[in-house]
Formats: sequence, structure tokens, C-alpha cells
Amino acid sequence: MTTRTASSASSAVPARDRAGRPPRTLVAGLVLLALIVLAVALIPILSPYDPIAEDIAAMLQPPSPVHPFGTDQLGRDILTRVAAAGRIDLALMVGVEAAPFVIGTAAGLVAGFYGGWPDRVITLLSDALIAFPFYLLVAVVAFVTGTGMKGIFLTFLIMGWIIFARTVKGATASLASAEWVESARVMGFSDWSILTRQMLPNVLSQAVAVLVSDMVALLVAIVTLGYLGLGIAPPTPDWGTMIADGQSFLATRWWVSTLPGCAVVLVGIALALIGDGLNDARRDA
Amino acid sequence: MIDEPTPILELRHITVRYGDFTAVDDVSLALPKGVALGIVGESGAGKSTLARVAAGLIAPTAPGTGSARPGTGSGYRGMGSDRHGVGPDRDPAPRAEILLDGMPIAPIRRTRAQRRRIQMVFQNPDSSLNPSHTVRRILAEGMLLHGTLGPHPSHERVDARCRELLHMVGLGESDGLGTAVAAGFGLGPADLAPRADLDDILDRRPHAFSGGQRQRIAIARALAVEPDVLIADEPTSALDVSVQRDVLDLLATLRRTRGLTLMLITHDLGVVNEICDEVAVMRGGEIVANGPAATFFHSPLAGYSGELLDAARSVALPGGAA
Repeated sequence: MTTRTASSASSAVPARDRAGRPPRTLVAGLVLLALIVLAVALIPILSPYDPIAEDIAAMLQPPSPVHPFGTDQLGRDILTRVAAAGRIDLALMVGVEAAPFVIGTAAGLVAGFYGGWPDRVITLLSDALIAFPFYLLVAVVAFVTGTGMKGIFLTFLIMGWIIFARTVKGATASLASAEWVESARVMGFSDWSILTRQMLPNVLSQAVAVLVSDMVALLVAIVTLGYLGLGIAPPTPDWGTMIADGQSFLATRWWVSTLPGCAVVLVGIALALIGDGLNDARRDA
Repeated sequence: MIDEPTPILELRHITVRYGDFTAVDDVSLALPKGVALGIVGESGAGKSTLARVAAGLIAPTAPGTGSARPGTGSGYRGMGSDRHGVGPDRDPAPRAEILLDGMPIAPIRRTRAQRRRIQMVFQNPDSSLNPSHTVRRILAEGMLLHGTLGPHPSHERVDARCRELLHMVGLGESDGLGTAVAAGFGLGPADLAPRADLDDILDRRPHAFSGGQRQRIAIARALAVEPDVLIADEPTSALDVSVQRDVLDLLATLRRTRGLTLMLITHDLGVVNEICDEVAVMRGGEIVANGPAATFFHSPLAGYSGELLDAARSVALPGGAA
């Protein structure tokens, strides 16, 4: 009876896994983002110019070897300011996204795994919050806390977790009845262990893909808030404020607004490539 | 019946309802140690639900209440933390009980030691292994949870045990499962695959394996914690015909060589005829016949069991029962 198993068992060593190489879009996005991070980290250190100090004698100079991105209406070197603003905006983007990512992922795991009243409470809360106009909430929070990082952080903490909670909840609910989850129960794993060690690794890639694409939206929101005067307060450099500063002479001094805008676009492209690459990698998994 | 004073696993008065639908209706079943019990019946007969109750995945429905709820202890009136709900003076119906070695255990909130003793192999190997874990982790996490290798086993010891489990289920053997299993797992050095091949398997994730190989891994995972009772819920129905035989042979051999008590859920009477000592026939949530397999297959039967057997014979019952 048992000898019949030989043929299949002898071929038990399976064919090789996929080559395991990450998608090109992911690599391209990561390289571009690394270059941007390197630039915003090094340029303010290497530059001879102060991003805040004004130099009226050098105002509104076009791009040149001395000022590769030109100067603004107060004579400040735009390249140095773009890099210094990048430090703040990118750090803000990561910092603001971190807490909602953790909170939303945890809420989504609990709602998707248990269903019932935890799901109802989280769904009700997210539905109520998402019905509130985002920029109106920004204005209200800015009114209470004043403009600046605290308001931005609080606003995104209130709103940002929802997208992660919804994504992770859907993914978790679809896995909660899988036989490998039942198998973990039969094995004797606790709910905490099943959630953190069994389920989380399977839903994390989706949450990270959302995180990256959400960062693009967040960056645009940070820049928009700066543009509207609700973000980082001057003279601290910020891409949104810099774009706003140059709009009154956009036709004659294009570099003042355009080059900070290009920095935003570059970061957006890098994050979009990473997001696409992560989605490709997840589909191939 | 086997001469065994105390069944290793016993289900008493198990009822499971989903709303108005009764999946299992007041079923009692005893599983003596070392016995292979086949639970047969048509689709929807309640076989898998009963298996899930035995495995601690579903709580029986308390008499006079609503639905059974997976993963909760509610609805069950019996012992431990589940002793709540309908009082005995308000409920004359017999109470559901699950006994392990004659001792009542909770339907869901079982102790870790109780969990270890009853393991389950599921129907679909494509979804019964965590897709993000390597085979090493799938096999190791159970033994680490239950400390079957001692309190703090070294990586080398865990790996060695994982390789042993792979051999046990016929994965990675250079000359196939047959020789090794026929020798009752008395594996000699010549039987063993190169260690690199086994490490290669351990490093892979489930998607790299075929359905039959995944089912072997699922069986190895269950065996990793050295259970006393193995519940196999239609373990071959999702597999190609060519590998169904391999998995059934493996279960039969494991039962013989490891002394496992087996509860095999199937609608394939041929499988039961080959592997099982006892048969329970389910229909409409009830056990309509229960007894030794020899009697079932070789004595004239009346009623539903006879119809079931006739139907199986009409499609050429494998294993010589026809």
C-alpha cells in the first residue's frame, strides 16, 4: 500500500521559488527617494547660504552657478531653502503618518478579526469622521492649536487612521475564516498571537502599500496647507509656503515657485513608484 | 467495540444550530484510544461541524438557545469558564459535554495542554497553511508553543525535529515515502535525503508546493506537537486522485506506527473501509448508525446505511468492499 507514494514523494523538493527580485518600479522609486533624502540631508550642510537669512542685494536672481536654483524675493538661496524645506516636510510626512498607520492597522486587525461590536464601533467612528470635510477640520484645528506642526499632526491623527483601518479590516476579515487561522486556534495560539504573528504579516503589505500612496496625498496636503498659510509658519522654509511666495511673479521669476514645486513632484513620483512596486510585489507573492 | 474502559475523546449530546438550521442534533460519540473512526455521510450531514466541535473551533449550542458561534465559549453549558447561561432548573435537555480521557473540557477555552492533544488536518491544503510563513516556522511554532522539545530548544534541535517530521510525512526522501513508512519510520542513513534538500524545503513558503505536498506539511504540523487524537476533515477531497492515495496511505501508516487515534471525516466509504476500525454514519445532523467497520461493510444493512453502501458500491467502492 505504501509503496505507491514513492513517485510523488521523491519529487517532494519543489520547483524553485520565484526569482525573488523586487519589481523594477520599486527599485527605481527607492533609489529616487534615497537620492532625494540624501540631497535634503546634505545640501543644507554643504551650502554656504543660510536658508533663513535675507540678502536684499541678491533678491530674485535667476539660476546661476552661484545660485543653481536662483534666489527668492528676499535674496535667499532657493536650492538651500528647497533642501531645508524638504527636511521639514519629509520628516513631517513620516512623523504624521506613523501614528495613524499604527492605530489604523491595529483597529483594522481587531475589527476584521472579531467582527461584532468592535467592528461596529470602529466603522461608526470612521464613517462619522470621514463625513467631516477635511480642510474644514484643518481650519478648526488650526484655529484651536494655531498654525504649525501641532495642528497638522493632530488633524492627520484624527483622520489618517481611517484608511489603514478600512484596508486592514477588509484584508483581515477575508483571512479570519481561513483554515490556517483555524489551525492556529486548534494548535492553541492565543488571539493576540494569531493577530500579531499569524494575521499581521499577511495584511501588512497591503497596509504599507496604502501607507506609501497615502504619503503622496499627505505631502500634497502639507504643501497645500503651507500654501494656504495654515501650515509651517514663515520664515521656516516649507515647500507650500515657497510656492505661495513666488506666485505673484510667476510669469517673470518662474524659478521661485516652480523649483520647490518640482521637489514636490519628484517626491511624489518616488512614492508612487514605490507604491506601484509594492503592489506588484504583493500580486506576485 | 475496542476493549477500552475510558474513551480518549468523548462527545455527549452535541447540538449545533445556525439560526433555524440544526447542523448537529444531539450527537454522542466515543473515540477509544488508538481507534480510527470514520464519520461518513452526504454533504451537509454535519460531519465537519461535529469535527470542529471536537477540535474546539465551534461551541455546541445550548438547548433552547440560538446559533453556535465560532470562536466563543458562549452557548455552551457545561464546565469551566463556560458554566453560565441557562440554569439546570430551567432546562431539562441533556447538557453537551466534551470529555478528554474522561475529564470534561471546555468547548473553546481549552488549556494549552488540552489543545495539544487534539489536532486537526483540514480539507483544503491551499488555505490551511499560513502563506507568509516558511515551512520551518509552520512546523516549529507548534512545538515551541507547547514545549515538546523542552523549554528552550536550540535552533539546531528544532531544525533536526523539523527534518524528522518532513521524513515522517514523506517529504524530501531520496527514495520516497514507501520504503521509510514500510519500515515503520526506522529510517537509516541511506533513506535520508541530503540535509541541504530538507533545509531547502524548510526555507520555502507554502505556495512553492503542490496540493499533496502541502497536505503532508499540514499533517507534519499536526504531528509536531505529538497529539493523541488527529481529526482529519476530508483530507483528500481537494487533492488530485493521484495524490489522494499517498495521503491516505500516510494517515494509515501514521496511525499504525504512532498509535494515533484518528477521527476521519469523509464521504468516501472506500477510504473508511481501508483505514477505519469503526464507522459512524451521519444524516441530517444525527448519527443514524455506529459500529465496527467490519460489520458495516460486510453485513447486510438496512435503512440509510444500506442505501449509502449500495450507492458507494454502484460507483465501484475501492478497497475491496464492493
